Amino acid sequence: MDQKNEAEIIARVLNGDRQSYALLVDEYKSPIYNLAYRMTGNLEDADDLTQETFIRAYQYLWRYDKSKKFFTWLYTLALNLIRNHFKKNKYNKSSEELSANLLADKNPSPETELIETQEISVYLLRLEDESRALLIMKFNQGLTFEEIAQITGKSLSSVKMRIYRGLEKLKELLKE
Amino acid sequence: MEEYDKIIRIIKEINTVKPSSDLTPAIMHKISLINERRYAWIWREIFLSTKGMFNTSPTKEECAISFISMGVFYLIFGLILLVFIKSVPANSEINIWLKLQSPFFILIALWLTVLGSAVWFMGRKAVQFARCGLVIYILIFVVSMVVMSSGGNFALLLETGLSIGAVLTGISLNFSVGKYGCASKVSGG
Repeated sequence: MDQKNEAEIIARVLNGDRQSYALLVDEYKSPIYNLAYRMTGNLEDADDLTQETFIRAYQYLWRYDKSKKFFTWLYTLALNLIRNHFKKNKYNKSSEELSANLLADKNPSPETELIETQEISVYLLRLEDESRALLIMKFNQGLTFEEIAQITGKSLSSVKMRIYRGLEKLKELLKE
Repeated sequence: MEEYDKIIRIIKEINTVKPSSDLTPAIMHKISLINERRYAWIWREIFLSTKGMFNTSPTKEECAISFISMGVFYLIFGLILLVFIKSVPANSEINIWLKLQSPFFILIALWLTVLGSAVWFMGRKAVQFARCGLVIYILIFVVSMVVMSSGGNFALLLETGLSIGAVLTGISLNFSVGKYGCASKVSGG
C-alpha cells in the first residue's frame, strides 16, 4: 500500500467510513502481531496486544501526523502498549515456558537451522525489552535505522548503539 | 558487524507467525462498538486547529502585531479608566491609585507599541531589545502590585489580577519573539 493510498484511506476513516479501517488492519496486522509475539513469547498476548493497538490507533487516528509514515506511528503505539503490558503483568516467565511457546511455532525452518533459530528466539526473550524490540524491528522485520529512530523517538546514533549492544548481549548469552 | 553476521542471519530467519484469520473481524467488531464520546469532535477540531500553532515560527510582522495588539488593549483599558474614573475624588490612597491607573496603562500601551515597532522595522536585531522590554513590562506590574498592597484588599486583588495577566501575556509574547528570533537565525533573515 503506497503512502498516497494510505492517506486516502485514513481520510475516509476520519470522515466516518469505519469499514475502510479494515484495509489498514489487513495491511499491518501481521508485522504488529509478530512484533507483539516476539516481545511477549505468547500467542494470546500477541493477539490481545494487536487488537488493542488497532483499536487505540482508530480512537486516536485524528492525532496521526500525515507528514509521517502511518506504520511508524502504529509501531509507536504498539510498543507503548507492549511496554504497559509488561509493567502490568510484571513478566517473570521462565525461559522453559517461553521456549515451550516458541517451539510451538508453525512453519519451522529446515532441521539444521531449527535449534539455533529456537535458541535465538529464547535468548531474545532474555534481553531487555528495549534491546529485544530494536533487534526484532531491525533484523526480523527489516525496518531501517531511520524508521526505528522515528518509532522510538531516539536519535539515529542511539538506535545504532543500542542495537549493537543488543547483539553483543545476545552473543554473550549464546556463549554461556 | 561481521562477528554478528550469524546472529543477524538467524534473527532474520525466525519464522513469521501468522495471525489468526478472525483477527481483522474481531478488531472491526470492537471498533463498531466504540461510541464516539459526545462532543469529542470539538476536542478533535481544537486539537487539529491548534496543532500547527506551536510548531510554526511567527514572522516578524506577526510578532510585532501581537505586541501592538496587546498595546491597543492597554490603550483602550487606559482610556476607559480615564473617562470613567474622572469623578473619583483623590482623598484616599485607593482613589489616588485608581487615578494613576489610566496614565499607567497608556504608558504601558506606548511601551508595547515601541517594542512591536522595533521588531517590525528592525527584525532580528530587535529581538533582544523586545525581550528585555518584556521583562521591564512584567516587572512594572509586579512592582505596582507590591506598592499597592497597602491600598486595601480591593486594590491588591485588582493589581494581582492585572499582574498575573501581565506575566502571562509577557511570557507568551516572549515565547513568540523568541521563536521568531530562533527561526530568523536559522534562515538568516
